[in-house]
Formats: sequence, structure tokens, C-alpha cells
Amino acid sequence: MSVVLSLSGVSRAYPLPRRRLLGPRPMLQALSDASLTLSAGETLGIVGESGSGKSTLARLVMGFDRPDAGRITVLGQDINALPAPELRRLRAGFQMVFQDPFGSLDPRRPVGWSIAEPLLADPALDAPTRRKRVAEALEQVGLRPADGAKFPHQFSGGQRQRVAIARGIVTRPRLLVADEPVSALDVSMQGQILNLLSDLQAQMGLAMLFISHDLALVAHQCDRVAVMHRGRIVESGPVAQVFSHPRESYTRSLLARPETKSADNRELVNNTP
Amino acid sequence: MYKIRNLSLSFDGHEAVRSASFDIPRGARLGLVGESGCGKSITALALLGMAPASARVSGSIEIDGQEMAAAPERLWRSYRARKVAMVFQEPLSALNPLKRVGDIIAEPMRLHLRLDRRAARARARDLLVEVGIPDPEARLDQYPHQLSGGQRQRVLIAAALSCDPQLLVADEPTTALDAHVAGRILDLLKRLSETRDMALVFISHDLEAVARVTEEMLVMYGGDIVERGPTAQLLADPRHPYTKGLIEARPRLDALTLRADGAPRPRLASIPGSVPALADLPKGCRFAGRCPIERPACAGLRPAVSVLGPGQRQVRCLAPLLPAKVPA
Amino acid sequence: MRNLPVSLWIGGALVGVIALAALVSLVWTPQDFATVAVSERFQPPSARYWLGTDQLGRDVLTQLMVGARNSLTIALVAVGLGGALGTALGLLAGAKGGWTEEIVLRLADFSFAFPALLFAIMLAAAFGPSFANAVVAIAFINIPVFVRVSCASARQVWQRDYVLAARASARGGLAITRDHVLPNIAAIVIVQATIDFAGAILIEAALSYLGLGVQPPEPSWGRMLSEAQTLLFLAPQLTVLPGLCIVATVLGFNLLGDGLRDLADPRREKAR
Repeated sequence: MSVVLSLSGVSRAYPLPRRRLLGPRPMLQALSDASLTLSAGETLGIVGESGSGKSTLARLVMGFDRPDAGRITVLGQDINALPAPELRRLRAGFQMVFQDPFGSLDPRRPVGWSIAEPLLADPALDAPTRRKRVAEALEQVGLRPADGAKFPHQFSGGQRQRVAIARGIVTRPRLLVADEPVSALDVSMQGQILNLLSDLQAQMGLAMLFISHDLALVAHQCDRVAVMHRGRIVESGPVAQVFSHPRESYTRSLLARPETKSADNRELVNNTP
Repeated sequence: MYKIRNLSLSFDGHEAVRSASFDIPRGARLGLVGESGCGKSITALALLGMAPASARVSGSIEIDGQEMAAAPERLWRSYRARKVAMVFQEPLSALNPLKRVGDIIAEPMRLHLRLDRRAARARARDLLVEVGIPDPEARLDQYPHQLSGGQRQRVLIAAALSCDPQLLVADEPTTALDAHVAGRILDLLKRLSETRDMALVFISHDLEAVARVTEEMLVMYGGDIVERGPTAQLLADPRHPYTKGLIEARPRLDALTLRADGAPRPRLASIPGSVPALADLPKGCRFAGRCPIERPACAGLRPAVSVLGPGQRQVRCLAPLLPAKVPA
Repeated sequence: MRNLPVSLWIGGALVGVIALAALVSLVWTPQDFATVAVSERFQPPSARYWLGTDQLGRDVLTQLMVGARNSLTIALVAVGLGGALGTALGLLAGAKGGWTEEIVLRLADFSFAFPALLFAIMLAAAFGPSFANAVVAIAFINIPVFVRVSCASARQVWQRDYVLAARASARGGLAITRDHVLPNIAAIVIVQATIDFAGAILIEAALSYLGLGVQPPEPSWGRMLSEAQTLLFLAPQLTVLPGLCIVATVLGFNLLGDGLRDLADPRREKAR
């Protein structure tokens, strides 16, 4: 299978506010030495708690930010070595679905406009073609083409996330980065959205980077998983293997989590986070 | 202790909570489960007499024999903190950033229990120990921003406990926290309820969290209590189609890890459609339009409550699901 | 409609009356504003002179109407210019961040710290008092407010996920500013412009009062005040009337601005 995304030795640190005036600027190592590969049709889960570096990873893969070290290759191209016009052309090949369907759509634009936005970069597509592609994308995510004229606030959270997914697939990308795509949704909607992502992936042969703090979701949705802790990928492999026979103690502690098993009360009092 | 009868809360004539009736006995741990807009948070606020001013409240809220639904704010104020206290979702915004932890916890005691500064501080220290904060003496003089998220929520709980309430209302107390911190807060709430013989109303959209903390639960949808019963029974054997849908919409870690490498991904069960807006709720059963076993009568007729089996279980559905066949 | 804030109604009504008077003065005034007739001075209100005449026999209502036109024109052009320039700089700073933002904001701070009236007096002293110089002075002192407001709001918009999505869609900084940032900060900038309008009216009145704004024979509220102040006890209406006009306009624009702000508040939208 063809490799769609690969990271090798990627690191990124962010400066924190100075503790003292003129003192040294402390750095937060948000991501250290991360390496991974993702092939067409495959879903790789990135799991970790808040601050583990999984969102930084997504930002770097999407080229919103540059790594301090390491290489990020999307569709065979090093996105940080590519000249701007070529990166712009490559962008149709990798798209993102954000966590918050309220914040990821411009409230002042009809959703059809937002879905068409990724197509604007391609001068070969004229307005009628764009409209046709938007209508197709809306149908693919289970909405009606007429819904494109509505504004985001006229949709429920789940429908908005469908709109965001339509925007993510309208360029027919090879890679979709999904950052906590269902955690802002009501529980009864989550299944719909996850099933939709699975269907689209099967239809389009998408590679998916699925970022979540929720182990059960990752176990369900992903083929392979990378567990992140304090900016490092501490363990990775096929989901069934990592989750049933975790090698790292951190992975074990994630899996032994209160959500699934109740911890001993005594331990709580002495071992406060 | 609390007796709620036919409690309705409406906005502009639309019922956000529709004649809810339930009791909260002393020391009980009650889960209030539902999705956004189901009416659970506003029900919780009504338990403290803090429903928004724009809401029209009808029905009865009886606390220790005293009718409170129409009680003046003054009376409610004398009940809050001492009889009923609340823990909020977002600890950072619920804590005044300019006040030290010690003062935050001591303030209600100085106000309601008329304790002097030293006594209140000593009590505050004991409360920090009780909620599991290490080195309480040092923490008393710190500010909220110096604490971690989990510790902030503990401080908030300590402040809520300061006047020994008989009922603690916790509205999504762990959604802002990381999973393992959240789990410990849940266990803390459960333990406090047990050791203090304090009732707990735990509000959440998270079935796993409710299962972990409560012994009885109410499932709300569109302002109706659609199902209630002992938590474990209800989760193992849901009788309302909404409850069943809610349970099945979440992938379960244990079952899915067994999926062999390369095996096809199973589809998640999901409830079609989405929660309608308050003004668009169906007149009859609120779940009409999304229900997989809907009958023609459902949209127009509000189903009565059926009592299932010997007592505790109730479901508001015209045709409740049959009991699940539990293997022996 | 019934949900519109009260301040919007009152402010709109006040501003509406003044603006109407200014518009009408373009095509019709009771008398010619420049006609001096000493024999007709200090006339009480009558059918001919609705609000009486001043110390030179000019019709007071005419003076007030043309004064309104002059005040509003100066304020409109000055706030328009200053607002456009300030917003453009703010958008640039908000889009680029880093050093660009730092430099633009510090420059704005610097000109902010400069007393507005003093700057206008300096400008008038250097280039002579005139209508145009008054406009330039008021426009200049309006720039930093718009820089700050638009930069701060633009920064917020730049952090929204829909801007990230636009970046992922290969859109450039200019396109994002035009398609996402500007429409989303427009409401805030318009509210700011409305409130600054009131300030511009006040400064124009002050400049004209000092003889540095609108030049005779063009009437202006500020100069009406200064010319009539020695007659305060003889003919109090000659100071009170332009004073009332200034107060009504400033109050009107402030209320309008408050009302628009309430209207643009997203929390209001959610409540509906």
C-alpha cells in the first residue's frame, strides 16, 4: 500500500512566558522525535491526554506550524521544503476535520461557500463545477444539496460536523486529519459521524489520522494506534495488539482507567493528581 | 428529603422540563442522564431555586416538608449551602481568581455558620484533607490558578461541603478534566456521599461516569424523564428505546479490542436525526420522529409511565422494550 | 423588531432628526445662511425667523441646519478616512503578527498618547485653519483607536478553526482577511465608528469654537457658541441652541453605538 503520510524525527518546542523579567524563556517540548507512517485506506489513531502533544502533531501535519527538527512527508513531498505555490497545490490532497463544529465554520458564510473554499485554490475549476462538487459532497455526507444555502447556525451540532466533513472531502483528498471529530457532539450523534467517516474512508480509500483522547473510540475506529505521552510516542502498533497487550506502563495506566474499572478509594486519597 | 412533583419549567410556553416527579431520599445517589437540551441542567438549578428568571416554574418542590417551588429568594438563600450545594462543570470559572483557596472555602462558613476567622480556617483545612488535597496548610494560601484542574475541582467540592449540605448537586463535574483525573473526582464524590450520608444528584451525559457513581438513575430526553431505575439494571437492560440507543451509540472498549487485526470494523448503532430544538419538540412522546419502534400514536400522545416488575423501574413509553435475555 | 435595544431607538431618533435637518439644508433653508441684516438682529421667534435671529441678523434655524451639515460632513469624512486607514493597519497587524504587529501597535500607542485637540491646533497653526485641515486632524487622531480595535478582533478571528480550515484550503493571507476576518470584525468596527463619530462632532465643535475648524461665512455649531458667548445674558438662546444640538448629536451617536453593540453581541443571537 502506498504511504500517504510519514513523519520522521519530528520535534517542536514552544516558548513559554518568562518567569522573571529578562530571565531565560522556558520552552515547552510539545513534540519530541515523533516518527510514524500512514498508508492509503488505513486509520491511525493518536491517543493521549490533553497536553500530550497530539494536537501539535495535527498542526504540524497540516502545515499550520513548522517543526524545529524532522521531516513531514505528505504524498511523497516534504511539506516544509516545498515552495509556497506547490504546497498550495498539494493542499487539496490533505484536509482536516476539527473538533468543534461551531468554531470550524465561518458563521457569516453559507455552508455551501465554506465547503467550496478548498476548491478556490484550483483555477481549473469554474463556478458551475465547484457548485456541482459541493452538491456531491453534501450528498456524500448525508445532507441535501439545498442545505448549502443555509448558515451554520441553522444546523444542529451533528449536521454541522457533516458539513465540516463535506468540506474535508470536497477536494477528494488522500489524507484526512480528524482531530477529536466527535467529542463535541451529543452521544447519540457520535455513532452517525463515526459510521460516516468509515463509509467515506472505504469509498475513497482515504488515509485517516484519527486524534482522540477516547480509547474506546480509537479502538473502534482505528487499525493502528500511537499512544502519546508528554510529547512522545511511547507505544504504537495494531490496535488489538497495543490495547490487549500493552508493553508500556503508561499505556497500561491509560487502559486501566476509571472509565472501565473502578479504582481503589484508598489509592485516591494518597495519590492525588 | 426532596420530593419533586409535576415540576415543569417552561420558556415562552415551551416546556423544557415536563412534569417531572422524583424523590431524593437522604444519602441517595441519583444520576440525571441525557444529552444537551434534555432539561437535566435546568432541573438541577431548580433544585437550588436557581432556575433562570425567564423560566416559568410550576409544580412542587418539597424540601423536608417545606414547599419551595414558589418560595421567595430569601428563603432559598437560607437553604443553599446548608441544605443543598452545587459543584459546577468548569472549576476555573467557578472559582474567583482573586481569592485564596482558604477564603473561598471559609466564606460560606463565615456567612452561614457565623464562624470566626480561625475556626473557619481550621474547618477549611479539614475539608481539604477530606477531599484529598495533600499539604492542605500550604494550599489554603494559594490562588486557584496555582492548582491543577483536578485540585481546583476538589477545592470547589470542599467549598460546597463547607456548610454540611444534605444534598450535593454536581453538574457535569468532570467534563473539563482529563480521564484519569475525572475518574478520581467521581470516586471522591461517591465516597463523600457515603461517609457523610449526603444525597448526591449527579448530572452527566456520560453513562460510564453515572454507572460509576450512582445507584439510581433518571434518563431525560426532551424535558421528559423517559426511564428510571437502579443504575446497574437500567444499563444492563434498558426498556426505553432512547436509553438503549444511548447505550449502544458508544463503542465499548472491552468488546472492540477483541476485534482481530484486519477484521472489518463493526458499525456503531446510532440514533437517527438529532435532538430537536425546544420549540420543535413533538407534543406526544418527545422521542417521536427518532424512535426505531415508533407507532402512529406516539407523536400525538404523551405516553403514561409504566411500572416494570416489582417496583423500582419505570419507563415512559407506549411500547417499552422487552426485558433483555440475560444469560444465567 | 420589538427586540431592538431601547438605546438604539433613542439614539437612532436623535441622529435621524439631526441628519434629516442636514440633508434638508442641502436643498432648502428658511433663509440664506450668509445673509447679514443688522437691522433684523436679535429678533424673537416668528413666522419668518422660526428660532429668531442672532447678533448679525442671521436666521438661527438656518445656521443650525447648515451647521449640522458641516459637522456631520467633517465627522463622516474624518471618521471614514481614519477608520479605513486604522482598520487596514489593524488587519495587517492582526494577519502578520510578530514584529509587524508590534510596530503598528506601538505607533498607534504613540499617536494615542498625543492629545487630539493639541494636534489639530498644531496642524492649523502650520497649514492654516481650514475645513480640510480639520478633517485631516480628526481623521489622524481616529486612526489608533481603529488600529487597536480591529487588530485585537482580527487576532481573535485568526485563531478560529475556520481560519485554520481556510489555510488548509490553500487560501492566502489576503483572501482570508477579505473573506473571513473583515466580515467577522465588521460589526465591531461599525460600532466603534459610531461612537467615534460622537467624539469627532465634539472635536469639530471645539476646533470651530477656537476658530480652527469651519471658516466663516460657513456656519458651525462651535463657532455659533463662541460668537454668542459674550451675549450669554443678553440672548441666552444663541448659546443654548447650538449647545443643545451638540449634546443631542453626541448623545445620539453614543446611544446608537451602544445599541448597535448590544445588537452585534453574539450572546444576544444565542438567546433567540
